[in-house]
Amino acid sequence: MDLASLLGPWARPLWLLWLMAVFIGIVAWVFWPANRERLEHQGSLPLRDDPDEE
Amino acid sequence: MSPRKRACTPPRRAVRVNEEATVTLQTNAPGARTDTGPYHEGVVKAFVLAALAWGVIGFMAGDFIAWQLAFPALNLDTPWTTFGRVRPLHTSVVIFAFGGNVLLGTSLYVVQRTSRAALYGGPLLAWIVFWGYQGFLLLAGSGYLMGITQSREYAEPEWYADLYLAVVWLLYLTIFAGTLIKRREPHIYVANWFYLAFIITVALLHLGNNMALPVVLFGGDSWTKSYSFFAGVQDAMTQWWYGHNAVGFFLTAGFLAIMYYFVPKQAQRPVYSYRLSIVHFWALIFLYIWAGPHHLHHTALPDWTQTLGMVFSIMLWMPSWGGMINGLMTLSGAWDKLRTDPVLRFLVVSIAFYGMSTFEGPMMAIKAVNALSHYTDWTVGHVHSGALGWVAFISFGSLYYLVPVLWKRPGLYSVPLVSLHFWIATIGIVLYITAMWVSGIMQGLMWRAYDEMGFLQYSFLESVKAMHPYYVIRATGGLLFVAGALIMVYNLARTIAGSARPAEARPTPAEASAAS
Repeated sequence: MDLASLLGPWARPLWLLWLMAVFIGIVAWVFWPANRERLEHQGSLPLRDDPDEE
Repeated sequence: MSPRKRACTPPRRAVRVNEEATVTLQTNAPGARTDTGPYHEGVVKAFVLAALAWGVIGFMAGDFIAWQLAFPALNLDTPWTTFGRVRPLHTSVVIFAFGGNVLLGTSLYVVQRTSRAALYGGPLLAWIVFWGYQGFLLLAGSGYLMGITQSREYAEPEWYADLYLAVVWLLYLTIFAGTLIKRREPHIYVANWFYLAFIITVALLHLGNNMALPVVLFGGDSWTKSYSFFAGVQDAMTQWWYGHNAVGFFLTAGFLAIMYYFVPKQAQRPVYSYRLSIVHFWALIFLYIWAGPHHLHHTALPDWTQTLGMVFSIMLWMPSWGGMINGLMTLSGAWDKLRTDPVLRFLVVSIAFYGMSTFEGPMMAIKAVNALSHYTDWTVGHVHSGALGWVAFISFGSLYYLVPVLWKRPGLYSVPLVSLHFWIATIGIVLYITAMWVSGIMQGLMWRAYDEMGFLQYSFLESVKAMHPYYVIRATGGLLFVAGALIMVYNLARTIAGSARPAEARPTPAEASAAS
């Protein structure tokens, strides 16, 4: 509850709402068209092997 | 115990043209790799071997008690071999010894490869975690057989074993987080997020659920026995906050990490949608933690808490199916590999079981369904479709992938044996879960059946007798699963011994990519 007390007593009942807002923010950021190429490129990270891995 | 320095395996920072985009200038700078020796794979090998040994022990213990339920005389009339003591041994060995060694081993392998950095703390710290963890397993497991337990499901070890595990686990977190911090790859791959969530959450759950004091401090005479800090329904809720999230973060998040690394590696394709995997991760994190109350439906737990647990359980359908689609669609355009590569088949069928059991779970969390299913074999069948179909199959897939890579073999000793293992184990699972569906639903219906006078129609004993044929089928399925595991151990032992037949060797990733 430290975080909630930091924000003030009014924030505590709003956990559900602000966590939801954070989550929606994450989804929006992930599917933002400008981020598409960069994120999908990161997805191929395990396939870019070090030379020793065979 | 020293890092094996093989001339052929330094993770050189030889940046190839196609990966320059993700490597920062600093990592290219001269001297940037001074803190990074060769990857530490010796300890990963040890975890793989430990997982194989514990797996066989755990599966056998499970099948032994499955036969006990069909034929009670098999409890051998000794306290050490009764169902009540062997059952926690079975659950702990398969979850924490088999699953745990798979998770620790693969996580230490994956974090090095995807961070392009050797383990933080070097081989010494990793070996301390390895032996520390095996020591915990022996301490806890031998205690169960002697009757030492705090009777909390999946958290049976007493206070001293809990404290000891907490130290080992924090060292493990130190290695994992330290390796991420010193990584030379700018991005943290999603598998590492899942692993990190698994490590941190399990630490919190373990500490929260095991707040207990030994009775000797209060004038009792036992050093081993302890009592929980909580009482009554708060204690039950704490236990199932732990229990459900152990399923969510140990058996789900940890093995999803395995999925996000080993399925792309084995299929030689990147994950279907990396953006979906990020959403998958955060949806799981935000939702899972609230679902525990569904284990306490129709109990003294306040109604609103039960409803909260039910609603969040149903919402878990979203990340579950998002993750399943992501895993399965990774094969999109390469489905033919399923026909030729039984290792990939293990991985992909495990994802199908993940989808199926995580569909079934939320359904069983609905109060009306739970009124029928709770305390019946349906729950046992559900757990095993997840444990055998999802957790064990994805573990088998990753072990089949890892052994030739770690021991530098051209391929597995025998691919047909992998296929045989796959089919034997799959038939075993199907026998197991169908028997438990029938027996569980029948049990539930018998318990709630009334006659026209309003009396219960069946005595409890009648429902127990009716279970017998299904218990035999279930135990037979378990026997097939054990047989499959023994085939795997033989196959991998021959692989390690260097008996790989070149004709059957799968193309290495380099050859495969060169050919395409």
